[in-house]
Amino acid sequence: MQMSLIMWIVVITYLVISVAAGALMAKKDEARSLNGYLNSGNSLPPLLLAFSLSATALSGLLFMGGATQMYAIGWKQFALQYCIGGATSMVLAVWLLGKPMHYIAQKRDSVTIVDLFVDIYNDKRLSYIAVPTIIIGSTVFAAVQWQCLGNLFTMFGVDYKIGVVMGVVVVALYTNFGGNSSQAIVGTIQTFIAMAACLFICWRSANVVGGFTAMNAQLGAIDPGLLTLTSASWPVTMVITRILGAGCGSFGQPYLVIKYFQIKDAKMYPRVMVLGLVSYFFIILVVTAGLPILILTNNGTIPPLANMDLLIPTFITELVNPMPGIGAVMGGIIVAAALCTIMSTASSLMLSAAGSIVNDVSIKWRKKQYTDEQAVKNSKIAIWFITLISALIALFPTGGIFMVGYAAASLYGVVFAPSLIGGLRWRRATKHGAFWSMLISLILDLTLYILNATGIKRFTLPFDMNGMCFTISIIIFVVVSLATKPQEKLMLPPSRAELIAQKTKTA
Amino acid sequence: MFGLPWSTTFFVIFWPLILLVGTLIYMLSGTYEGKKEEEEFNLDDWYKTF
Repeated sequence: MQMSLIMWIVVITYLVISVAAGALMAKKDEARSLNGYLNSGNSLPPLLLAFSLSATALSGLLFMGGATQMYAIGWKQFALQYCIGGATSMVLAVWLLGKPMHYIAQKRDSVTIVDLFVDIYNDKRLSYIAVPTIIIGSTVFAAVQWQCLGNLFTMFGVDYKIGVVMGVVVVALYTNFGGNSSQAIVGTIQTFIAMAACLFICWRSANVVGGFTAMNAQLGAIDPGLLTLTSASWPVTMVITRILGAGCGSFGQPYLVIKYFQIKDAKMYPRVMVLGLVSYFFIILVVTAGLPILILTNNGTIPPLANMDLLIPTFITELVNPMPGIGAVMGGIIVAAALCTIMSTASSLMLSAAGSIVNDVSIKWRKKQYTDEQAVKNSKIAIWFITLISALIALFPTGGIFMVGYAAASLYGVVFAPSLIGGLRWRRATKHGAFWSMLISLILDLTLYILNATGIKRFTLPFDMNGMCFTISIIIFVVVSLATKPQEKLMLPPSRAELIAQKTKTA
Repeated sequence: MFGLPWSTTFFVIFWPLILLVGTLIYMLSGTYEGKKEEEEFNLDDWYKTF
């Protein structure tokens, strides 16, 4: 696979703009305190928050891995993972978490999701589960992003490992410069580029095989199960648990959830929902690239893929590059869009993990006293540390982008989502429910994943593994909460009954 | 639609549209969580009362 000079120019221009935007934001005052560096001083407008949420949510997992799942299971991937699981949970997450998290962050000066757990439940034990989860999940998920970058750079004729190192350096540089503000601004620009590129990919996917109806007819001829939500290998239990597994990530991924701290005014959240959804629906169109590749490899027009993770690079070189006139430019824009989604997620992961190391481990656990300047400096050191570890993992990849990325992203949802939503929205939730749900689901999810990935014991139940763990996590949380003594919730607004009682007392 | 079964068509095309229109109506209605409590109990900001 080789790229033309025009594609090189488009991609390099994009990388330079990303680093320059980060450098410019470094001059802003808010990048000089820890909360400003990690959370933009809780002052982001709705557009920046919504698009930076989209840019972060739509990672290399979607851009490089989603199409491989479309290739494998057809339209059910688009419907279950993205339209039902992803989009619905995105709306619910903004609706359920946005407002309470914003106020708690203002009241308690919360910096990380770990602060939030400790504040909601008034129990420091939760941080001993949450911090390792964040560090393990962020490091593995960052490694998946670097793996995507390495695969993408093979199109330039660049060796996979050199590609990983190039991508890592650019992301670490612009994240280090300006922290969250630079990530939000660059993420917004990136989202606009990604939206245009994904719309083009969807059009080209249908166009190259004779339109949507003709494409679906050809898919149906290969396997009718590619068009339906269920099939012989996809029973209803698998469908339901895949929706839960795909959806739970929106509620628990710390680098996403932490963004709810960052809005300027909590009443702007409905706008965030609409803007986030619009950008999301454009960007998920990228996965349709898997369908024409499936048809064309099946009829022998394109040689079979040696590595499924190279599906998007193959789409660009085989189906976009040869287009007369616009092929090279569009190819360059798609590569830039892929870099957008990968880098914005990697950048947010770095910030989230660094925040946990400095704020939770050094300041809260080890009781270190830092000035704002020292805290930001230590965060930057932590970013380089996490980057180095995750880059080492990416240099020796052990699995496909989708399966490893999906497992890492869902780990957060499985462990954090029930306790987070319950803590903010259910008055009967208790710290014991949160503790046992987080602890058991972390052990269960990691054990099942390791057994499955190493081949010691393959997961053969008719469920999506992450969705099943999420369901178990919810059950433990609810049962233990109901079985333990009710806990006073100081971090929730008064109920209607409490307001009436207050009014009567005042009168 | 487009050669897809009705159930797939619903979740691939109509479900996203329903979500989008629903959130748009919510945004345009100007309502927000706690608005009712603020009006009824004469509060500046319901969430800030905790």
